Amino acid sequence: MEQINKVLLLLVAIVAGIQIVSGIEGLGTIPIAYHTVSYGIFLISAIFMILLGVDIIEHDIAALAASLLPLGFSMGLVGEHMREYHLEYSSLISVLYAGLFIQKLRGQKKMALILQVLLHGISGLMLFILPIILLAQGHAESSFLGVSVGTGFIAIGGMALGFLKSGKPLLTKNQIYTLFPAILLLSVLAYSVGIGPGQTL
Amino acid sequence: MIAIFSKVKQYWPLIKSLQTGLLILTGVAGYVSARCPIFNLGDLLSLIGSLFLTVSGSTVLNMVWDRDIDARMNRTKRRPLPAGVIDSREAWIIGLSLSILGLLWAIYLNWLFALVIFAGLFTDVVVYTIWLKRRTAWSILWGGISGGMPILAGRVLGVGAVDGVGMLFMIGILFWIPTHILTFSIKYAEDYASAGIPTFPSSYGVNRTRLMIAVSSLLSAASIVISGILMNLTTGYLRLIIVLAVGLTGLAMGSMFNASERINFGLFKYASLFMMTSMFMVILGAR
Repeated sequence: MEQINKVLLLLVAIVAGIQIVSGIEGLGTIPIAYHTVSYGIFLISAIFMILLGVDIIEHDIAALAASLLPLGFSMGLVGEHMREYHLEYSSLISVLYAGLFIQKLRGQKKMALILQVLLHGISGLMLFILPIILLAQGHAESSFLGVSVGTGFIAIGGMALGFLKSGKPLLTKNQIYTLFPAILLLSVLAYSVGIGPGQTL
Repeated sequence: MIAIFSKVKQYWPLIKSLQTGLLILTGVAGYVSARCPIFNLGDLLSLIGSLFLTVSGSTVLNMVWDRDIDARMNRTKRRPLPAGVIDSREAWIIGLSLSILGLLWAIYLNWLFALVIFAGLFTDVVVYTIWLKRRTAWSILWGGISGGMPILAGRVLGVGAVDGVGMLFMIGILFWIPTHILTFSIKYAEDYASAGIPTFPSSYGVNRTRLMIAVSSLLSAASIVISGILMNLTTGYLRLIIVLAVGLTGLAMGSMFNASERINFGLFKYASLFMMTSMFMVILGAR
């Protein structure tokens, strides 16, 4: 791996670490727990990529762990801004994730893929649209849009990997590996701008 | 003056500066976990000074005793003692002097603190290096105990007694050290075999050794997290330690079920990072 990518991944780990320690302080207990999971995925995956190489993102377990990233953020935001739907939303997401986990363990690739698409689709849309709606309604600061931007970056990385795994790559494997650390950094920075106390009015 | 500098430069590789630095960091973390905000900068500097001298001294003594083994291993044969760059009698005197000076400084600071440091020194040099290292693979347990003494000593200096948090911190380091030693013993198995040192891979096989590494990593992570909870660490810092502990657990599981050289060495590096970061978190988040 090139040195510049190691530096970018180190920055991802540092930003995520700072967010875990202080960036989400002041939010409610439930959002803090969920956001810790998502920033934790950023932190651990960045360190693993530095130590083991970027190609670990292709591993099945990495895909399972990476799915927790949008889930955590989306459940945290729902827990904070749509408390009346929190139980239903987290139940749905948890059932889907449990299903994905079981299908991956059983090696049912097709079923796992369907569940993964559902899971990422629902949580990704929630993360992308919720800040826009809250901003349009005048319930959020403009910086809250960082969540949508961060989700956009993650979606780009996720799609590039998805197409690569499906055998119809948009970019070559090397190009994806080279771009991935930068995408992660842009994403964690955007989430850091968007998530925190005082972002909603 | 130039002669002193050149001597220090010669001896620097003998004290394993990274390892010594990390052990001093654990001692500072143990102290700050009990005495935060730090009221007495003098005590803190004395803690660092006495730990530096005793840890360096014991490492030099260890190197002197093991110079014949080091000479037979590719990884270590270029160290100053087996390479003949430093006279072993002189190194023996310097190692002993550093240890005694560090102990005297510790006694001046606090007798119980000094007793814990002496226990670490004795366990490392006499029990681990001289008595057990060439006899049994289980010697690493004693290596782990001696490695856990600096953090316990720091805590003792802060609290004035041996308490549960200090013991848990020590256990955390105790289980972290096998991760280091066992990973090396797998990676350099031929080296150890040629030197005639019994290791876990040679006594129990590589798979059981990997299992041992994974279990000790898990126990280390659990001990540090529980210590953080019991010492009432600031929640943000505790969250970060928990996240890193989850990462360590994941990698340890990976090394058990999907064993490879790459994951094994990754676990070794991650365990060091986990310990260093946890110690910084304890220092920054103590209240």
